[in-house]
Amino acid sequence: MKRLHPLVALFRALGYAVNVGGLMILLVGVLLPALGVSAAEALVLFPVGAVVGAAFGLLTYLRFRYEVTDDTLDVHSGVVSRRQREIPLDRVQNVDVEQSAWQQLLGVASLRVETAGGGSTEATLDFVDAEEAERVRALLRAEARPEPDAAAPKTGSGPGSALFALTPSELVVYALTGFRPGALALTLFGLPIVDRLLRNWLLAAAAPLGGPERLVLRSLTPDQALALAAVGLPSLAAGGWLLGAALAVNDQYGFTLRREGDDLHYDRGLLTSLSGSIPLARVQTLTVRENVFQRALGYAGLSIDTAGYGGQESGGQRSAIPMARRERVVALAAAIEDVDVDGEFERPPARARRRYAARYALAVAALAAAAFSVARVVGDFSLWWTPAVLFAGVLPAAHLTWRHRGYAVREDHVLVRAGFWTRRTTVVPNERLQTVQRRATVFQRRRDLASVVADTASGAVLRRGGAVLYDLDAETATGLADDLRSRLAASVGSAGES
Amino acid sequence: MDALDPRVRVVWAVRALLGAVVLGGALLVLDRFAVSVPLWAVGAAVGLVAVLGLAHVVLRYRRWRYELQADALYLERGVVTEVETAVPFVRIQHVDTQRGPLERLAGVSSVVLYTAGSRGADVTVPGLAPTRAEDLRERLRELAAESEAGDGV
Repeated sequence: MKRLHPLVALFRALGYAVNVGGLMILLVGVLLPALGVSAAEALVLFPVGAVVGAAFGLLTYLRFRYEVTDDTLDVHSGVVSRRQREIPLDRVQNVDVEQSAWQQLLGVASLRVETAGGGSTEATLDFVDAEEAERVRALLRAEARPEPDAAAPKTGSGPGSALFALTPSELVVYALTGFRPGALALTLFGLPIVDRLLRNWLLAAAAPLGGPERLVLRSLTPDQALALAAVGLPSLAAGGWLLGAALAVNDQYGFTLRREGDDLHYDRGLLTSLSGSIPLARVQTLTVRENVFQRALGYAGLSIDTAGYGGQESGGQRSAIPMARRERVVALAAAIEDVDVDGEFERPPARARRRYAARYALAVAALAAAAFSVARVVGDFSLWWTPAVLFAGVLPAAHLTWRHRGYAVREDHVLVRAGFWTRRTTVVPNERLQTVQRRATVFQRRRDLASVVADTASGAVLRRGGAVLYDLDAETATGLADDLRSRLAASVGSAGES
Repeated sequence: MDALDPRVRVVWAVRALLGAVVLGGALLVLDRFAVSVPLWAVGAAVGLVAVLGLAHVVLRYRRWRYELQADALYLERGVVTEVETAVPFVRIQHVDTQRGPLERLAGVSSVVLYTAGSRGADVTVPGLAPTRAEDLRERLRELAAESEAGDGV
């Protein structure tokens, strides 16, 4: 059995020493005076805490051992409660190697192993020598061959052949057209640093719209607050956008995808370099995503869902292509799953559009009602009617929602498309279906509509896996649900025999 | 298509009434510590929730159907949202029978099927007579084993 990199021992010992020592200082400062122990006596606790912490850190290092056997990855860990974990190699879904900036300097890397079970990463080697990480990865990938599967090799290219490399212009499009909520949060976090500068600018910009003279929350009238929001929110969005673009460049810089046997292997990252394997035989679904700007420019991204990845990093999906010209995305999707992601899509019946219009109108009405009640209670809110302007957008929005929804039933796949702002086209292979559901809410039944849920085992927790075919004609939905069931039975039957 | 055991209605009804009682309690606490809520309003809210809950129980029981088909367990259920689910035997990872305290009192049992799917990964058939629940579990287990294909992922 092997241990992690010796430096881990040092880092862990130092980390725990600082933590436990800090805890002792907290005890000394807060609890002990109340018990009548003098400060001088209490201070002795700090070095004691630090030593105990360091010893514990060292123990966690010594107790953590791993080994790749013929058919399992064994990991022994734990100081107080010990754990011995065996991961069967043929159940390994993904293996990722990560090197942050300082890890690159030290020549070490972290390795993560994912299986289909559980919500979190099954085994983490944090961290080992970079060469050792690569050796373990290669070993795991070589052994983790599931039984030959119909879904596996669909392109004839040999091992190591490059499938895709991100061009600089694609990286720029990816960085500038994306919007990352995480970056927005980071911007909010950074606001206090540039506080004064920002206040003055915000007030000056909001003044022509009837903004306040001074930024005092309690004395703001709703009108002034609205003016401030009209200036402040777009500025915030712009800040988040720029920061997000920088983060995106750092994430995806130098992205390449190549084929290694039955795996796709990617490398990416500027400061933190990441590489990992996506086994083709484990692909659950493919998703082409393109937001409204990317559609206008003719770009799209492709991500691959496997059953690993419990809920971290973009909710269980890995980019196969962060961003590329649409043709390249379509070609790669065809190479992986032998399916045309463009082609004909069936739209929901036109009466579904009335449903969306009703839904949006209700939302706007609720917003206007809320603003009106604020005007009644607080006063000084002559602009309370502004949300009602959104009524003008209800019909176009309903139309766009309807227009971008669709589904297609191909020979070996079901394709689902939805979303105007970000349009997602999800490809579900027949043999990946788990359960098939037909659902109809009261509102859908009124208009003789129903949805069909094609569930898969993909790890995409955020959007929940699988695909929902919204608002089909009720009859069509019944037929399709039956069709999907028989497709699953047929594909699993043939795969089971091979 | 099989219906559920009628006794499951007792379990559901008790749960619905408990919900109404909890709501009443919350309203009384609100009345005591925050805004005043007239007693008749509390009574009306509890009554309304109880009546709606009981009506829901009746409709829910009427709507619930299940059937063992050639390749899948097929379920029909739902009052506000009607849901029809097919769980193919190949996709069943494991099967449980469960009995909560209320279910034990009412003399019913539930069968829970687990799949590797990410949406509704566990499907419950509630309200079966205990012997029937065990039969169904055994039957599903056999069917799942017979149709074994790979790891069901």
